[in-house]
Amino acid sequence: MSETQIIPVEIPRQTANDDTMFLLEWLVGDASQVRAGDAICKLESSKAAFEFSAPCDGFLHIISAAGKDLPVGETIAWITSSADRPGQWPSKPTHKQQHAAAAIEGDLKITAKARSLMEKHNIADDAFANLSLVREKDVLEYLQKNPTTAVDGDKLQPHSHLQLQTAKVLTKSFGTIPHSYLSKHVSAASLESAVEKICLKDDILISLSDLLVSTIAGILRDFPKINSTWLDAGLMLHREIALGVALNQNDGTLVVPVIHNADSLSLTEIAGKIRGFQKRSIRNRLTVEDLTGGHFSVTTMIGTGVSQVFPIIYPEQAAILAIGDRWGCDDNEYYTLTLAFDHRILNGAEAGCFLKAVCDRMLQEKK
Amino acid sequence: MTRDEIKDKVVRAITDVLSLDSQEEEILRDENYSGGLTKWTSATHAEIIVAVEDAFDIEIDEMRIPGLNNVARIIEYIQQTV
Repeated sequence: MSETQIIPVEIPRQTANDDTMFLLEWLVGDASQVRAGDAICKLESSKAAFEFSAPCDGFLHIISAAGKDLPVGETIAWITSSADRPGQWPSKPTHKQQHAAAAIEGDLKITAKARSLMEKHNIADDAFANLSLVREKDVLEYLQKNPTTAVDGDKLQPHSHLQLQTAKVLTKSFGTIPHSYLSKHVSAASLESAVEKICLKDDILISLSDLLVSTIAGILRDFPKINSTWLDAGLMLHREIALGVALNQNDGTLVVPVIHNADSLSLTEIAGKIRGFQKRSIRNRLTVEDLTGGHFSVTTMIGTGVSQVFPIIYPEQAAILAIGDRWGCDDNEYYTLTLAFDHRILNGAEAGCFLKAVCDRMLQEKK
Repeated sequence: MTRDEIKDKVVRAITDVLSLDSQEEEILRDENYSGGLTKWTSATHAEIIVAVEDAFDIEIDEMRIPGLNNVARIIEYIQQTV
């Protein structure tokens, strides 16, 4: 290496699919002396992290800090023959400058992955006339903005009004409510025994979910913050106990009909309300009144094989309680109840007290 | 409509909706023993009720549904209603 030589260290192309690499860390310090083949930094592609070696002997001058996603070809350091850092680096065009120049010349470069995606979706090069280099993310962005672009055999399934409403509600909720979660495992045998005992005593057919909803209705008044809505002006503590019960409809949409004044209803009446919702859901006859006004929600995955659920709190509610399917083996089977709560309204201890109270009360039915 | 006719219609509606085989249908015909039918659960109860409503062109009071836990109870309800 001559005294005047200054060699760039560039982000390598590791795979045809990676247009960028993440610079995890530098393994040597700035201005360190390195030998060709020495590991100088750690890079991460979409496949794996790997050590990247110095291309030649010399002194390494770092110009890109670690912790960044950098395009393939980007210069991240220079290696010079002398220890002194030059006042100015060679005028090798930067990655961005290369793009700009290519754009002016009309020389459109397309990465292999982007090209494959474009071909798959029948997207012409013209779609990216304003770019010099088309990467996978550019194509994905284009597809997001042009959702009707389809390949042979693809079919756009329009959202139902209900699906759009559900999406709007869930997006709003997850974007505005700081969720926190607590779970408790409860003996499956004890809970099922409680349900069975009630069924035999009252000669009715109810489910564990019915018992859960009824139990919550009975104790929610003791936990006023859980039956509240966060407002900028303060906490709106609701007078009414109005419980939403999440139901999956046959078309895959989720609806949450509400049992109003649930604390004034017996377990049989609550079970009747829920069967009524299920019946109207089957018939597609749930009304707007059925679906509005809830202050707390319950969701169940019993019968699905999913043991634990982390639900999303509905807007203007403080919490939602989920029960998963029975899990475990032999005599050690459980149901897991998970409470998602708005951490602005409740701290973990308060939420935990509520969750424990629900479980304890359900098991009391057994006695 | 006689009680037996009602029973036949109820059993047929439930057999269809739960896709019961002949052995299960026999269990169902034992009017008071629907609890022995593993397919008749709280999860399928609403579907059973919808099938019965359709068969008799009636609307069952939702508050009465939890108590309609066997064929005999459903027959009684229909006799009172129709």
